[in-house]
Amino acid sequence: MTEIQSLMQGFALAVTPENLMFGFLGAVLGTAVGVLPGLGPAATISLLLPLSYALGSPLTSIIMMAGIYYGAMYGGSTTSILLNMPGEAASVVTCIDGYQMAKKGRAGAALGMAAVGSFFAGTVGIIGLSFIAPPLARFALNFGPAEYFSLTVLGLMLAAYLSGRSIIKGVLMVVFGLLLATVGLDPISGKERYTFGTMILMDGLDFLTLAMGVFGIGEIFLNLEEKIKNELVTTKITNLWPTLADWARSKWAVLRGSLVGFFVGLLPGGGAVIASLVAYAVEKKASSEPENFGQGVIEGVAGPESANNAAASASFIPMLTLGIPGNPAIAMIYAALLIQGVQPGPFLIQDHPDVFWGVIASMYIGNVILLVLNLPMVGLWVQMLRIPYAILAPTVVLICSVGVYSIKNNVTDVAMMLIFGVMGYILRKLDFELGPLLLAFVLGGILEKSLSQALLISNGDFSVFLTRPISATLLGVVALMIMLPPIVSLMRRRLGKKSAAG
Amino acid sequence: MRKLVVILAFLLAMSLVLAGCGGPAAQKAEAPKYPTKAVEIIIPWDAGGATDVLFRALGNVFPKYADNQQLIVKNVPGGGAAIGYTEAMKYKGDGYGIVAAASPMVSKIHMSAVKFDINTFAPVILIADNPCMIMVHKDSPYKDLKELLADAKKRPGAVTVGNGGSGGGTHLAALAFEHFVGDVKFKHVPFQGGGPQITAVLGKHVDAVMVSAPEGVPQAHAGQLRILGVFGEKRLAKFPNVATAKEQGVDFKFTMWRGVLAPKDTPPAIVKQMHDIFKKTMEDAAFKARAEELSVDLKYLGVEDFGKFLKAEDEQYMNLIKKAKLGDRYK
Repeated sequence: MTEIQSLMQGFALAVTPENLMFGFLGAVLGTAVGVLPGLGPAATISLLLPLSYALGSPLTSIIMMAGIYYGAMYGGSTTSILLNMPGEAASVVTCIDGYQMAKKGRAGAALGMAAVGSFFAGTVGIIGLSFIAPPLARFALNFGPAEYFSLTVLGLMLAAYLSGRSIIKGVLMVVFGLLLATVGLDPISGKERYTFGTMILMDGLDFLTLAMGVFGIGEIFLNLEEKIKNELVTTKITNLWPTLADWARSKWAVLRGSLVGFFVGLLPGGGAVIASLVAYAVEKKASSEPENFGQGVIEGVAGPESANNAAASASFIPMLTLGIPGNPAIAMIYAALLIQGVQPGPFLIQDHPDVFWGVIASMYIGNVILLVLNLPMVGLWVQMLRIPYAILAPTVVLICSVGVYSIKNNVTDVAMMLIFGVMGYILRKLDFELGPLLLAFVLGGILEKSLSQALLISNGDFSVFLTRPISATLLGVVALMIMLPPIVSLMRRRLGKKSAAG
Repeated sequence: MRKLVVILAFLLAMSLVLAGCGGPAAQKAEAPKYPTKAVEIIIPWDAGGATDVLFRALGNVFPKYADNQQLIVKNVPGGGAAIGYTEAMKYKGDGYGIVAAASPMVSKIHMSAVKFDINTFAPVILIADNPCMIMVHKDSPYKDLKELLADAKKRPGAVTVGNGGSGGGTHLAALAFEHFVGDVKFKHVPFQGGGPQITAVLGKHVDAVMVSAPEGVPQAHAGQLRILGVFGEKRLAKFPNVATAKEQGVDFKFTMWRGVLAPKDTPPAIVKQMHDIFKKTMEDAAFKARAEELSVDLKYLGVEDFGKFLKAEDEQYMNLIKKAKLGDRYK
């Protein structure tokens, strides 16, 4: 029960006026950047990183940054549901059914379910973080190169599989993302690839530059072309409380989403984006009416929105206990800890119990604040979406430019972001999904490194991926995913024939 | 009309020349006052990295010895540090724009065709020098370097040694160690920096890792990892029981160092003043305590010694990279 005692001490630290204020500020900022398309939590935290020097206390600055991260998970759904445009990358799949619900006049129920699901899953994630962080961290150590490889293969499969209408287009985007990830130095020989002799490409393309380009800037190009109008389905949100039928349908989705999100969040390279994609697939599989997905099914909102919050909390576990940041936003928080002289790793809990337990306690409080911010006050955030496009668009471009510039203090990155913006615009016009592209870009680096590491260690023997149990299981899942749909359709056809014959 | 313009231009030029002559002459009597404004230092690596954290710690104390002028840290990462150094080449040699130096700068020079080399900048001061070390899992059969080397000799290319990235400092350290010993062959497995390296050895995915502090220090403290040997001059203060490589019969040293460089045309008098400020800063008690927290081993070398040190490092890295056929510069 020492955890409970430590947690109580954490609460004592988290409720000091200063920490409460910055926690609140983080939650508000997080919701705002979650709502605003084109600006995600990673960019916001990177913009605010210099502030962590000024704040002095590591606890206070991490409380605020954590608030931005999980706050954005709440805000992202609002934009997805009302505008059919992800406010934040982890809410991409929420667009599919959320927007359809809004079109049918059920925006309130979708928003309400997203907020309640987020609260439940966020709390589940924090409870997990408080009590099972150490044993889970030990399990994560079993992940060697072979396991990382198989895991990324699974991730890529999911990315292509979930890409929407056309699997072929999804696969194309995955391949394109993998190609983009090869730019830079070869991880084994250190030789340059596709750098065209420039220094700027030596470290490879930057994730934030790519993400802000294709999502932020690309989106704005696309919107500029259409007659400027806010595609808000509705500005008056009524019936925020989902119906009894909604609850009945969603309770398992929320629970499944929480668990899926929590475990995906633990995985390095996982995080909220993949968690929401996986959760959507799980809901589609678990549903008795998968054909209705895409037409406004509430589970399609409840599952992914729960999952991204659980993942956001869970992704703190490998970062804090192993010193391994799993996604860009968490990597920013990792940098902030280092700046404050707190070394994330197996000894953080022991050496800096105040930081560990203080941040966790603040997350419990933050989730309550966010529930209030997002349920009764959702109308306020919706107002933000009513800001005329003529103001919003240049503001987003400005913030994206500053954000990208601030990462490396390099103007070329801003130019690159604009190029990616044009690319994103063209791809979108051709009906390609950009989610798989971005995901494959992130996973591509891990895929290549883990493949070469595993083969180096095994002396080029490919059987290593099948002789290690975790890796074999993951690849088994991949094989099942590839084989099941044809088998199922074959069986259906046979059954259909039989019944026709009989 | 044209004549008038020529005369005016001549007068203007003359007055400028005179003013130019007057400047240094007037200042000669007394050393120029430095610094009179904030000093900007480029860190060619990300915020939060080891070099960045060290220089920010220096920056906190710097004003105390620099007439209350700030040391402004500007991160210009990318291109394996090449972008930051190229950016630093644009600084005027007035003492207000300087750049952080660290071992990966020298390796980069020999890995890729970059626009700078060690002679592009003037040495100011060496601040830190952390020895590399080899660590293994606590359950590893190896108790010291000898046992590791014996096994590596028996099974050439079978013992896996993780490093922080191909062509990076710890990779070159492991290669240099191999070359120094002569008849051993490790299997070098690159990881993305120190964190993943430590995780890989904790998960027993590699037999050993080559790291430099603070990587692995907390885990070694907790007894999860064992340090086989330290490639420095003396034992680590935090691990007095771990013998150096030299004590184990392998007189091999390899360190990761950090220092300060200035533009080549910075007047020696300014370099001297800059050096003095940094020297006082690194001797400050508050900074020393912070360095201890960060597991940074402070080591001072003055302008001339640092210059010699740089030359020796340059040669070592060049030979290593040529021999191992790494990178693009020596194809």
